[in-house]
Amino acid sequence: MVLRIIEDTVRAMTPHVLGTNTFPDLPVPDPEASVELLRDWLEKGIPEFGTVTTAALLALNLYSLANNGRTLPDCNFRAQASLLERLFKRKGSLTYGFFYIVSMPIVGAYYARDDVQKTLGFDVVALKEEAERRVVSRTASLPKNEPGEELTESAGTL
Amino acid sequence: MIYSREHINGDVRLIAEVAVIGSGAGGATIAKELSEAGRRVVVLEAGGHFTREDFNLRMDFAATNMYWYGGQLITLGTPMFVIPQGKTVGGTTTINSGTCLRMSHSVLKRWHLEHGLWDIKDEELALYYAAVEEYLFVQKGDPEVLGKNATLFLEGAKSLGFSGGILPRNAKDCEGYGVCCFGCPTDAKQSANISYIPDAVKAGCDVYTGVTVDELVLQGGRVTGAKGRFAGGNGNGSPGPTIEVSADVVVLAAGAFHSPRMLLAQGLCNSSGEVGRNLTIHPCSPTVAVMDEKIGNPKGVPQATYVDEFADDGIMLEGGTVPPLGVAMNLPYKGRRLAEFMSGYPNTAMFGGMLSEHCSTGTVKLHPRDRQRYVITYNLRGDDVRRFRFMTEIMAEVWFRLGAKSVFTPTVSFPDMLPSDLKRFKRQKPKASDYIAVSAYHPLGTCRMGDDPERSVVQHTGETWDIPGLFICDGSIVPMSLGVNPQLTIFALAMRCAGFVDEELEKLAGRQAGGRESSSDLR
Repeated sequence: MVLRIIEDTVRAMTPHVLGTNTFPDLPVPDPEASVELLRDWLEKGIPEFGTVTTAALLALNLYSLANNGRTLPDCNFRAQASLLERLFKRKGSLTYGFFYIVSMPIVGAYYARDDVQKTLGFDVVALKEEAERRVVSRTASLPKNEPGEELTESAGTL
Repeated sequence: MIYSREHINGDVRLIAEVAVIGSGAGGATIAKELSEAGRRVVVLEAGGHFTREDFNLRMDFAATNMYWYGGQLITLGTPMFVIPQGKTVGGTTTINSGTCLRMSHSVLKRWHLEHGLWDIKDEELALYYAAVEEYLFVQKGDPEVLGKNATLFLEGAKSLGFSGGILPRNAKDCEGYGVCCFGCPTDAKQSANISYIPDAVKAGCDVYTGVTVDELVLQGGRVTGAKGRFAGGNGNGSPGPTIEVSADVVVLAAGAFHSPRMLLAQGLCNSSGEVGRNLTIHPCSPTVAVMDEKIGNPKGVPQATYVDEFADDGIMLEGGTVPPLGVAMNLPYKGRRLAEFMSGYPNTAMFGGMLSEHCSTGTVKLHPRDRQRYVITYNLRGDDVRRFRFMTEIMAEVWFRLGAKSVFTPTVSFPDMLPSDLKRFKRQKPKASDYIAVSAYHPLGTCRMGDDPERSVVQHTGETWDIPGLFICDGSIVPMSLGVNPQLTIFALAMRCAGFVDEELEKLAGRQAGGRESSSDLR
């Protein structure tokens, strides 16, 4: 039951936390990837970290209940956006810390994606392929790149 | 050979002259030096063995597979620091930036005066440093591959009259893939996993990975081995096979957190009460500047240049770039502001600063419910808070000199600083609680060396005061903050320590031979 609530909360929060809807160059978020990363952290991470994340996500739902009469996932998109925007704008270390924790699986899952990183100029697939051809040995020097084989520059599209 | 769980079909029993726990800068060096001297050495490593083929440049892969606790290791206190620590063959050397700086003469003098470590002499240490530097190809980075981020900041710092330069690193033919902290994808970085460990293995050393050591075995007051367990049974949640190594000498090299944790769990070597105490770290503060021009991060050398103008005050600025994921995770923004900032990532430049504490220290204690874990407490105190803030000011000053439109700082009060904010920022009273999402590196001191058994855990040789045959050789024995990245010093100390371990084995062999002679005499 608790797991379902916090997973639904992360799912609902994903587009709001990432705020990519007005940035067409950035790939579309995948709420399921956020949930998957959350599950992974709860399963493999430090238990206390999982407890704090769970408590913070439940607290967010209590806040939503107190303000909107519904849990966050049960609010419509607009009500979710309005509630979260209100919180995002608050200053202070508590709010800062709170959103740092509850947003980690969302931000983590999105910005770890190859397509997102490539859009921002970090093409991990191309760089890995190139690195395969440039293996360094302790006993010999690396040959210079052939003309036309220059290292991959930022491959960003922005 | 390097063994992992897949090679193991049942419980393992081994006999060696030396059992080394941990394969980072300390353990790997000991293993190589002693194996090449003909000693039978077994290394037990908690992490897995990853190679260049596995290093895929992804921060999330590295954090999950090669960092302790998935990179979630944090201190309790104000502010809370994330401390990345390697859990893989090569330890933290596999996932660090490769910076290799010698400690200063004045720090060694403080070792002498404050800890009585007169036996560690300048000239002797210089020889070890030189040997390690040669072995690890330590050199300043090629200016052509440093990357715009590093050279730009250095240029800005110099325009303000600050001293600085290019960092020496243990990298050979580095082409600046920008991902040192996630495992070097070309083997350019000469971390222990591609240097000391392979050479140790070549000389006959066996490395067992995925092993959690539960117990140091004692007999008659002397250490006689170590017992542990491989992680994971058959994927069904059952415990893995056990491993027991009988050894004449055990070298604990599990790092500044796990070495004291293991001793505390068994109540060993703590007659001084100093195990787990005196923790020093380098609290770090990053700055991310939004520039007009494209910077091209993370391509280049992540930690390529430094500014040491304020080194006498314990402040060292060293470049530190991270890929988009690392920036996004640490930003205070959410929603549209996050997307806006991140879509400008190609125009962001980064630099970090690290502080040598004057008055803050921390402790490592056993986790109250889990003897395999620990709790780190650490509070930034007194003048350290002011200097920590000053570090952010310097970096912001440099960025604005270079024309930055805004500078992100990890503070609650000025997360996004405009040039016009700098004066207000400087006037504000520094508070430790103003910092959030900061990291720290280079934990040291939790099993410190010294000449006084009542104030230290190990002697200058690395051997513990309390248990004959038990040596400690990792960052935990370094008695105070070095003011620079510590890996080179740990490599050098380990090389020195290997000589004392060898001597101990010689002495032991002499005693055993004497004992056998006496026995035969009796017959």
